[in-house]
Amino acid sequence: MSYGLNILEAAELDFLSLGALVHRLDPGIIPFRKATECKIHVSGGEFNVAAWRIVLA
Amino acid sequence: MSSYPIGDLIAERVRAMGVKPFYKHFQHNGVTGPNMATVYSDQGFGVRAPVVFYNRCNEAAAQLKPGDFDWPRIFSGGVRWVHSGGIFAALSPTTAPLAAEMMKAAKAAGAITSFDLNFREKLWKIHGGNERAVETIATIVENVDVLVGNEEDLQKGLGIPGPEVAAKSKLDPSVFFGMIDNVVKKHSHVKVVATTLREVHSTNRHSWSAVAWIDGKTYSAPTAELDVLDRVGGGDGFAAGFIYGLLTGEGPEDAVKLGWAHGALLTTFPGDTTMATIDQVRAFAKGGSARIQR
Repeated sequence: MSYGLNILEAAELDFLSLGALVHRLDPGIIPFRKATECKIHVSGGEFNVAAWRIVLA
Repeated sequence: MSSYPIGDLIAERVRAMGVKPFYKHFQHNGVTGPNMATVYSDQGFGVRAPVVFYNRCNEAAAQLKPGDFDWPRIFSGGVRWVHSGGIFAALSPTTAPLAAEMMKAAKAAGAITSFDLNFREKLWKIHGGNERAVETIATIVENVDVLVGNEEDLQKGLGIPGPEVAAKSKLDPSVFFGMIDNVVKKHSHVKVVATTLREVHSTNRHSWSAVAWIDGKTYSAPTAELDVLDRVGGGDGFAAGFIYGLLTGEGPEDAVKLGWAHGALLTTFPGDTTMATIDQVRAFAKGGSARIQR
């Protein structure tokens, strides 16, 4: 399947992304102005796309 | 990556997800940074929308610039697919040139390149506004094969004229497809443009679909009614699943469905990175349900 793209069959790296890593503070359904605790999620759009490989592959 | 406990925490999660990092290291001064950005985001509930705000003060990633990474060395063993996005490109005057440098090197190495436009007006306001955004993003897109973005991203990120037809609903892809001719007129090398379609009924109830234009043909995923736990990461989940489909040689419609299914599943997990298995994604893409699996 080409999709008009010439995708290499194999390479050392399947997927590489460039972006900022961030941490997201998440107090759940409580708004921040009333929050007393929160969870920490590591995120970043490019990281989120790269992180598929280990789980989906 | 900045050397302080938040940087260590992030690096630990990157390792846990099995992602191989290529970091530029920054020494945190213990007071003002350079920092890893903080995103504050509650989940909202029902009629109350999530509230998101940022602290990207003295962000380490914003200091990245062309020359920071040795692309020929990184790509020396070959690379199949290279990706970046519009938020990173908007972080500072040096991040877009770095993304452009990477895309050029990636094409030279034979990789497929993709860019998630993710236009953020607030960020571009700091660095020259919408006109500057279009000029800057064009320097990246000139070496990009696959674009991810909705009508607003195409309009504001690429400078494509606005839609000539009114959409019947947020799930109507005719406006998006109607803009593709102008995208290809401006960037004739682009082979794929894809986006999610989302109608928000309440914070926890979305209608969800996805569409793509692939080498001249259009493809659509079904519409699913989602019960949303945490909407952050759904768009990234679509890109991840869609790219997975293309990398594994799925048919174009199946690739769109894999992206759509993965994005949908992402909204059922807390956090932004995937917890879905490929079996769950494939089952939902094929029309699976939430019936208990024993």
